[in-house]
Amino acid sequence: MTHHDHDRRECRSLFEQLSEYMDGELRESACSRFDEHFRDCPRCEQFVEQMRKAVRLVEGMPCPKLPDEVRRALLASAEALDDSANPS
Amino acid sequence: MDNAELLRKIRDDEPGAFEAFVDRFGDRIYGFGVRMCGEREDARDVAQDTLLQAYRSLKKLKHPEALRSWVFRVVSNACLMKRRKGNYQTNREIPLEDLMPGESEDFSAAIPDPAPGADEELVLSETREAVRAAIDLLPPHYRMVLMLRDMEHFSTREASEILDIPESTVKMRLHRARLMVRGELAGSEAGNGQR
Ligand SMILES: [Zn+2]
Repeated sequence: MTHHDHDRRECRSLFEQLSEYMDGELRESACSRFDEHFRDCPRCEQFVEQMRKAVRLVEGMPCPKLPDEVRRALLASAEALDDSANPS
Repeated sequence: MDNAELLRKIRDDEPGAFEAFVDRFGDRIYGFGVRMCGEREDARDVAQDTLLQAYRSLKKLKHPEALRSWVFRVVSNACLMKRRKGNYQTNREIPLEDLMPGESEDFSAAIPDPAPGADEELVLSETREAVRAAIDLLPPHYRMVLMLRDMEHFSTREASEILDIPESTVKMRLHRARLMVRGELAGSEAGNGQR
């Protein structure tokens, strides 16, 4: 027997809280329910691993730079505001 | 200069305070705008309006630790306003059932993971392109939560304050956003037709 016929309802119910599990936002008892389940269910464990990878990739996305002309326009408009606020 | 020092300079109207503020938040705000609005033009407007508006309102801010949250509150609202002018999309929540992968899907297949040193420049840029596309496909209310939590690293609580939604809603949307991004990256059947 290679196939462990575990309860799919447990997969379903844990699926809903996966992100909270990954973020460490669950109580200890809820966490150990995950860990216990993973021992019996490689599918769920692989799924979490894929989720973790997806999050790491999102976290690793580079941030576009503020274009120079926008920066210049901003600094110029702030100066104009200052001048109108404090007329010399 | 930390945020407390920056906020003090802003309150005191010190010369160069605005420039320091733009240097601190300009890229992040523009990047947020690009990902939320899609259009570079709109992102420029959002960045320009947000930085000026946030700066002016900062003088009233009491707690320096709230500085970053405050700036993102302003930019989130600006992005939402842009959206209302354009294609209006409802904030419908996607049922979790629709995001569950099929029984036959194989999760052992690797999502490209640019481990340090292991990948060439080309692989990295293709991976980033795929991630960017997956983020773009998200409904905007999911994309916004994903960006605040996983890109800007705000806590659940901070994100809920920035967006004025309950923490439970932040968690729900974050989870769905991540599921959808994973599905796209893994070429999954789940979540298709939800765009
Ligand atoms: Zn399972």
